[in-house]
Amino acid sequence: MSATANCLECDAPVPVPQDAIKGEIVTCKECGTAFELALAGSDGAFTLLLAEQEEEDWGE
Amino acid sequence: MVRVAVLGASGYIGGELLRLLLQHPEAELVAATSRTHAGEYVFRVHPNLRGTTELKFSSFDGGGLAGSADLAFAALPHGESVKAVPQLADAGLKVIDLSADFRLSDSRMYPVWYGYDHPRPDLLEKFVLSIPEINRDKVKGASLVSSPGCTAITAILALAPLLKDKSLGVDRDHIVVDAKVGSSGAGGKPSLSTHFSERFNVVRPYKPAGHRHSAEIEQVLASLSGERVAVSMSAHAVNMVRGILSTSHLFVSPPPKPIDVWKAYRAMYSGSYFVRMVRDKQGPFRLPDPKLVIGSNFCDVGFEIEERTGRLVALSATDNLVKGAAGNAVQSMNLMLGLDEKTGLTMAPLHPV
Repeated sequence: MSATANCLECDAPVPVPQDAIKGEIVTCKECGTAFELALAGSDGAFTLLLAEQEEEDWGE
Repeated sequence: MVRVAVLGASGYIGGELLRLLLQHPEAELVAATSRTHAGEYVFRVHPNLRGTTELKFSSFDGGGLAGSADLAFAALPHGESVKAVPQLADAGLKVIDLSADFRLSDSRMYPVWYGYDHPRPDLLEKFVLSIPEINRDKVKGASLVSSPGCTAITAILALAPLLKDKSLGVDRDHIVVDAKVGSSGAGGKPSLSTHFSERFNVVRPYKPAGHRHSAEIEQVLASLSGERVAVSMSAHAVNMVRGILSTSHLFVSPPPKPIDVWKAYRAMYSGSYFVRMVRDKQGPFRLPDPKLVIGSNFCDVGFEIEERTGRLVALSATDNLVKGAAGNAVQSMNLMLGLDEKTGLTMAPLHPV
């Protein structure tokens, strides 16, 4: 069973796999924002950090 | 099975109604009327329907329809519908009108926006302007329904949650809607401006000020927010056959956080199958694009925020003939009949198109 965090961008639930490891990338199904899993404390729980993502470039 | 008739069935919206109703599991199509094509096979005018029906167009006969149909869709031109629909309404048929003749609740607005005095103002209060995602409970109990214009419904679906959620603090006096519309939005009657040589490759402004659909948008948004709302709208003909992209500009001080805007949309649309939130960080289609809704009853909705100027950009895309017209009308019929509103409408959009 996986834990759930809330997307920092759109607040949708983002499942975090039970066997996830620090540094793993998870993606919000709703808005596509990618997050890196970081350890929140010593209890092994994860928090979401915005991961680097490709931006659009329309010749700006 | 409900027996349905389509009035004005030779136009593009009429043809789309036939396409949807012919594969609807709870509808039996009993008549398709056309003044100019009476006696012809339906598929001679709508060649995509060859092999799907042997139905022929017939002349409008209000008395006859009263005995043979339970519900009628009226896809007649503005000003014509108001002559035919009262006969059906008075005979007790359920009616879904797709013209502008019953969209505005205040008869005094007809001379202002449409240039005529409404001949049956008594009927206006009996019609429900149907956008199921916004007022499905009212539509469920209605016998007489009006379906909004295609650009109006597209813009409204992007704007409604932002006006309803007062915590966002949207400036209600300065809302600008910019719509890009495909050629089928102009109907099936050819003219010089729709001639291929003149229409192909255009980005042609039409009605950059005073667009009639402003009235419907203001009416719906004002009823949702409980306050007067002023909408300025411009439309452009672009190089598509189907599709509308509505880009609406709202001004908010201080600008909201994306998460608050997401919450406003979810609060209104979380149970609405046909509204899809599209604000994606990945892929080539990160915001709504009509290309991805063609052939479907979906309305894709998304937004962006310009913090520097306090501008909230609300985007929405529909297939103008489906969610913008015939699909919204069939969805309304489903509700009026007590059916699941998705019945007969769950087809996925075409891609690529």
